Amino acid sequence: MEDLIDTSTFDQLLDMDDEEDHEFSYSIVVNYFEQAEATFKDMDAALDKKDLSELSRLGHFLKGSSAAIGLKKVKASCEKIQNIGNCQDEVGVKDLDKTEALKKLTQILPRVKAEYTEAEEYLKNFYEQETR
Amino acid sequence: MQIQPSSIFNATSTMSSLHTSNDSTPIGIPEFVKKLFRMLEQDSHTDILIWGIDGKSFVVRDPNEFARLILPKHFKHCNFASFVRQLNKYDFHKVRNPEDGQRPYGEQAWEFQHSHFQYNRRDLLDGIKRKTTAKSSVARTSSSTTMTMPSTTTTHSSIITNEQDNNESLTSSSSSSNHTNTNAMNTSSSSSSSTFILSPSLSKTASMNKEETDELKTIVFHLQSQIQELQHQHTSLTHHLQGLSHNYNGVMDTMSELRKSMASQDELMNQVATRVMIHHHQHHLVKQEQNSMDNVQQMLESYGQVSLQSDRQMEQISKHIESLQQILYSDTPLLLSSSYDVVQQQQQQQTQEQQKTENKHHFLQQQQSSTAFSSSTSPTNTTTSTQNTTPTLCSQPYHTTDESINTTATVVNYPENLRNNVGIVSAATTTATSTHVTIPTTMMGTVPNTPRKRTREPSVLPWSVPPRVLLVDDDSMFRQISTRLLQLAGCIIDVAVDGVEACNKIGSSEYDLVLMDIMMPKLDGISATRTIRQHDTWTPIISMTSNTTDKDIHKYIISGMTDVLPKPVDRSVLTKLLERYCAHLKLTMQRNHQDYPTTVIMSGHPFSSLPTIEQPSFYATAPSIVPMEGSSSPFIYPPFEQQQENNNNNEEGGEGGVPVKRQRIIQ
Repeated sequence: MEDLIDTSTFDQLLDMDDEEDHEFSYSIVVNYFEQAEATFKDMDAALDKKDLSELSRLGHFLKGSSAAIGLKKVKASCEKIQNIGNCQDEVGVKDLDKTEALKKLTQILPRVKAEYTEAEEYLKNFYEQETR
Repeated sequence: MQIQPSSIFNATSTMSSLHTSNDSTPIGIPEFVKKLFRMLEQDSHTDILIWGIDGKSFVVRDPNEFARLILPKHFKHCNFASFVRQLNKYDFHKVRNPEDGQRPYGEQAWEFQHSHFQYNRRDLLDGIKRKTTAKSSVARTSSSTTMTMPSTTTTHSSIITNEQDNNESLTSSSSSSNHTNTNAMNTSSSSSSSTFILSPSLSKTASMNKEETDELKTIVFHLQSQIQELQHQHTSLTHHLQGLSHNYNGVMDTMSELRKSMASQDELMNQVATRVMIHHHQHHLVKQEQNSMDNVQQMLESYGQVSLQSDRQMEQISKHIESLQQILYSDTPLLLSSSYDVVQQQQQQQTQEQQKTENKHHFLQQQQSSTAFSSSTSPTNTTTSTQNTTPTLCSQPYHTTDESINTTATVVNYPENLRNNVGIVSAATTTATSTHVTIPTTMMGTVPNTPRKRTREPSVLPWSVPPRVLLVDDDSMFRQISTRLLQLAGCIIDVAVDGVEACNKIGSSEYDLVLMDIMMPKLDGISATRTIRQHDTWTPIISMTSNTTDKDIHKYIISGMTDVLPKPVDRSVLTKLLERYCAHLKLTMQRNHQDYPTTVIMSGHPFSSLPTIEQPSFYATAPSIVPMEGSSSPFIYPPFEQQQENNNNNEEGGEGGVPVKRQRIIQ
């Protein structure tokens, strides 16, 4: 689980809660779920349209929120999407051409969704346990 | 001769018609006396009610508790004043404190004495009668009454008449609002008709002899001494209250002077700042600018400190005045004098502070004359100079302000710093000025702290004024998180969802800090910052971004950003930034308070923004200590009950005794 969630980030989020309930952090997490799911839909649409810049933007967008909660894997994948969408390779160094970029993105997209689902499960469990 | 009971009863009922009485007719031991004895016998509240040391008196050690706890058990009321009145009626005397001021039973104790009311002497109790019929009881209980001589009878009846007059004058003065002897005399003359009823009947009873005359004389003496005591108390209380009103005046004067000096300093500082800014355009030394930036912050911090100190002192003064109020109402001269001292101390502190501020005032004037002034240049120069300074700042983005905090900006530092100030001086000044918009509203409460949500960690950063932060981010999740963090740090948050909204908001209101996301639709962070910087060079704009390469940072700086906050937002980093850029709003708790810096000039200080001292927003407590008209004249000290009524009714001035409305202090 260590590479799924960055505990220090997540703990900081939990720290913002009032003592007893986790209302605030839970609301953030739920918000994130909604955001992520919407973003994935948009990403699918952008991929269909072969809109790389859009994909890059969406990747950047989701990267931010994932990082805020501490979802390491999802954040890393989103960063990849961002870079590839910018026609740069995964670490943002080499240049890619459009076709290559699209190909990579097609592969990454399902992966990031899976990572997200994993994180989602984990978080849902966490909150169920906490509020029991 | 025997006293004819009926006549006495007539007399009694006539007398009782003059006084509102709720006692039983004096057969045997009066109900009141019985209850009183019972109260003391019960011995259940030795901290409130005890016998005197020699058993010849009793002491109410705590009138408040006595009235609250003991009185209701035995009487139908819980009014200490009524109790005292009844004691008076039964010829109890309040024992005065010995001349050396010792209070053996406690500060609030009242000691009462009656020759027939002694510890374990139930047999004596029937000797206690109501004062009006004292003579008849004396006549009755005295042994060996014999024929009286007519002359003595007449003499005695005249004495009785006088005594009746005195009695009535006393009792009437205790139950009405006539307080001078002349008034008493008038009363006595008006009630003289009733004495005519009495004296004939008493002269009939006629068993007056020398012994009884003496007793009568002692009674007269007692009464007279009582009158004297009352007068004495009255005078001393009058003096006390006069002193207090004088005190109020003094405090008011001090505060208004303080305000004036603040206002003039404020003005002066503004002038200095403008001129220095003008002067600066000839100097573009980055390093000096950095120094001065720090020093400017120091100045602002010290402004904040001193303003806080003044606020606190104001608070304390008003609190003391409040307590004074309460004490006045509770009618205890000794307590009055002690809080008198406290208020005097407060005044002294205020004067000291005032002197300090005045010193600073003089110094700045000197400074002004020594600084060289130049003609003004265009505003764009200011902008570029600001931008030139930012690289230095950004190179140490997380540089804590500890250094600046620990250095007390002393008087000596000023000459160097004033000369080399950035446009930020004016910026900072204006920021401080701008904050005064928020200050009055937030200062309304008595406590300067902002309400903060509870967190697991101890909360940070007590502000004297909560910083106004504009948060610009298109991502709602980030907005929520950052808002929460800022709230926990005690800030007031405003939100914009993109660059356009950010520009609009900054155009219309002032903020202490702007957190600007970079990637946003419509107008991104960099462009927004550029736009904002065209007309606002002072508000710190901090970019929030996950791109923190040197190239990126350079881009941000070029656009006019003050600093960088990497995403995801780390709480400690945010705290540091807040400390840095909102240092002037911080409470001075970290500092060494021993000698807070004498650099006391303030600009944009809340005091100066208030035109008159009657402004309700900050000086909510001040108006209540304005003495009302006629308070300096010796007002009449009302009897206990009436004063309490006044408390309840909240009357002003006049016969209410105390000139200040209680309600106005309590907010």
